[in-house]
Amino acid sequence: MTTFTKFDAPGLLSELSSDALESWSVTMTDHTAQFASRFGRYFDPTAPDAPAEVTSATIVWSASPARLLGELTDPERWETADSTRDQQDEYCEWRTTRDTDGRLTSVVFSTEVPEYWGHIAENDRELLVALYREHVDPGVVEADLFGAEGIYVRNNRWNNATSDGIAHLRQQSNTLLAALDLAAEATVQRVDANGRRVKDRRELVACGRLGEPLRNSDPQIADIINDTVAAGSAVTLATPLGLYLDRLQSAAFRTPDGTDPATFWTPIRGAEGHVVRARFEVPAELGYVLADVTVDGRPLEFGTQVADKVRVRIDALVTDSAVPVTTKPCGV
Amino acid sequence: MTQIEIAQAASPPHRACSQLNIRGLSDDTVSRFIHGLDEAPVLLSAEEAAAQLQDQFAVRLLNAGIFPNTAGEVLQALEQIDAGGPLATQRFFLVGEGSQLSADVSNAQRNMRFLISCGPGPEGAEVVVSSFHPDQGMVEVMAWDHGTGGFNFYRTMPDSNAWIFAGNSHHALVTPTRGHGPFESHVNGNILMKELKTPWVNWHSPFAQIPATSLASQGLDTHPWVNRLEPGGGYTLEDETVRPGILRWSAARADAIAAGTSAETPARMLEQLLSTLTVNLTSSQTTAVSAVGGSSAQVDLPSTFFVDADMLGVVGLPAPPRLKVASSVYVQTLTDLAVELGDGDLFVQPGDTHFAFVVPERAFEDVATVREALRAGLLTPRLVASLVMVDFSNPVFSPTREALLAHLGAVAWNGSGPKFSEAVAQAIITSAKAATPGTAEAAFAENWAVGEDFVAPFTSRLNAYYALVEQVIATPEGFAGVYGVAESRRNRVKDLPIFESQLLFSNSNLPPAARLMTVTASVEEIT
Repeated sequence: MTTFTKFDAPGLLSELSSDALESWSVTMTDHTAQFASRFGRYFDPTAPDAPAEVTSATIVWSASPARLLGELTDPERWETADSTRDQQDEYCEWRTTRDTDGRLTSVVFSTEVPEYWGHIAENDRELLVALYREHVDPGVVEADLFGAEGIYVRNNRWNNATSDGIAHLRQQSNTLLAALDLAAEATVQRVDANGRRVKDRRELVACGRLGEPLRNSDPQIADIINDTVAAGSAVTLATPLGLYLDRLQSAAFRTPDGTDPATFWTPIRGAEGHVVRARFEVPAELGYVLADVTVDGRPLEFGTQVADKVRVRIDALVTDSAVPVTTKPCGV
Repeated sequence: MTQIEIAQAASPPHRACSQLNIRGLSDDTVSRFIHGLDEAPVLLSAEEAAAQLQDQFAVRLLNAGIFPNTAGEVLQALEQIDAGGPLATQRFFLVGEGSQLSADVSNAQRNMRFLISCGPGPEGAEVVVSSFHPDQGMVEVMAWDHGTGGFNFYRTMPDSNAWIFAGNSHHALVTPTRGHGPFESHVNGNILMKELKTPWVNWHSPFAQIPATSLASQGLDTHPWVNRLEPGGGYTLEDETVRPGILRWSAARADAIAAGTSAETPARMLEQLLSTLTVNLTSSQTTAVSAVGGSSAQVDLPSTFFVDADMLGVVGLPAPPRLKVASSVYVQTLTDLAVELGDGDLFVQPGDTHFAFVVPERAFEDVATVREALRAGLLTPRLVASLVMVDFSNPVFSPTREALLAHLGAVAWNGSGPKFSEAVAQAIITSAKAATPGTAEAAFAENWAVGEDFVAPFTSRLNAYYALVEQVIATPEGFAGVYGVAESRRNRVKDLPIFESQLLFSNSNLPPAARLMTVTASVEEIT
């Protein structure tokens, strides 16, 4: 039997005060309860009547924008996705660092949801600035992060589409609420004009207006949840709510000295199994840089080549359910 | 004396491996049966097995006296013998040519099977297990041999826990074992995964799930292995097992030739470049249903259908543009040519495969082999570029490029890549046919004459071709011709051992014919 009483911080991060952590949990509970009230097969794991028996389900996808796969050649999509975080729409964003010769030296990945950083901003400005100084730039000052009315600017000068550093997700689709909404909406079974259940994942996303059909993430989340519900279950996103860097699939990389490239992947934020920020970089003592590494036999020139091998994850909980399934036609 | 019977009936997992269905072997034994070398199974003593088999599967199990019979027993034994170690890390994958058919379709031969990688590492998995059923015999195992390099190929027998060692990757490369036994399908000694690019049309993956209900007819929909399927599916298998495994073997081959310790020469590698020993499959990122349903306005076409894009990249030539056909044109072609998908038995449905336009492409193992040959200095970029640009509009199954194989036999390997490459070029350009316009030799001679600075002139030639292709696929007539070339290449794949299910490709009402693309993007039918 599993009992959930609260929503932990994403990544099980422990930097918030107990009050701020509690208010995060309350906020997430409110959101979850709202979705649970609207969708019969989406449940609130912290509710008093929450199911006692649940199993976990893992949903993964590639961090690299699938939308570009059918549009561009590999070198073009690598350059395009690196050029602006507006292109990075798979709930994972990254920034690269290059040396004076323009050679790739490191890639920092983040799946930190903007809602959490907004929550920090509301509760502890000092902590917010300290985090920016530690992870983005020592020169960050509080005024850089807030607008004229004192509201935190997610897309501030240190965390915008082309800024050198990266604090958290900022692409418009990459939010925790978008993921929650998608998961809850995906519990609705969709039927086409002939009354047949829509099963193709891209068709499902288009039919239910569940996001972008050509992404890796939206069809993957929607399809698995929709199928799970069709099989007689109810679902919810697991606590701690968040998007996670599941792992780097490093076997395709080759290093000049034979060092295991998996050792270049360094989790920076988040508990083990719940990493939300990581860096891919060659340790200085090895005397070479990422540009000297190959992936699938090609020199590493872009962060997106690494993103191709990064798995992003969201966790769900599943339980048997007798609640009637909601069925709707497309577009409703 | 034990009566040994070699069963004749073809059986899974691979057609070629049916030769290894042997009855009457004693339990708890491992025998060597390398087709082309052995007339019959040769029982290996414990000492012989220990000396010949140095992979983790043999070392930890067979050589230690442990002889599992089923795939489930293999995995359990590895887990127990290496508790907490790398071999206990086991990842489960599911593949099937009919896997993307709706679960409601009950009469299709889905050809579903499990593949399990054990001991993942930076160079791929140590042991790979392939099986149709967790609790039945007829298991195939590949495991990396740390003594000789290359993969060892194993097989269980239908009615005993005897194991057959069917050869090592090295046996795939040279006579008399080349092309025999497992090397009929594993032609270069590599692990096989037909699709090595997104969206992996036949694999359980983030792009397309295989519903557990698809396994119901095998009674496996609730089997624990289904719950253990890797969430990343084909995406993870490709990145963590198959590509690294192919790179590992390709690098070992090149290093061995360079060190003078190999029975093969770079000529064997050039064979992979010039002929089509095997292929990978690729497809559009667009699903056929979204093109037909109108939610996708265009169908992107795989660039490797039009040129050998991956091999061109190895010698520094730029990737082709993304070529697309309007969905309306694509759908009209499906209708006009009465395209349908069937399993050759009871199941048939109109339309294309799940992801549109599945076609063969240059095998990744060929690209890896040539890349490693270049790294090791066994071949020169000029030679590779000049060869791959011969009949470049037909990246696979090119009779023109294949004609150049005839000249390789005249060139001996003398330990120097540049000298060998020069000698191959001279053998071609000094041949009598080189003086005849239109021959493969003349085409090569023209390419070779471009010299070391080939990137700009070859790029210009390729760009002119891409522009013509874009014009051709803009019209229904033009795309129908391109579709005919695709079907012609698919039909060639049907003659390869890797073709195991009719559901791999859709079929049209076009009469069977060999069709080639010309450099002006027109279609030429060979009679």
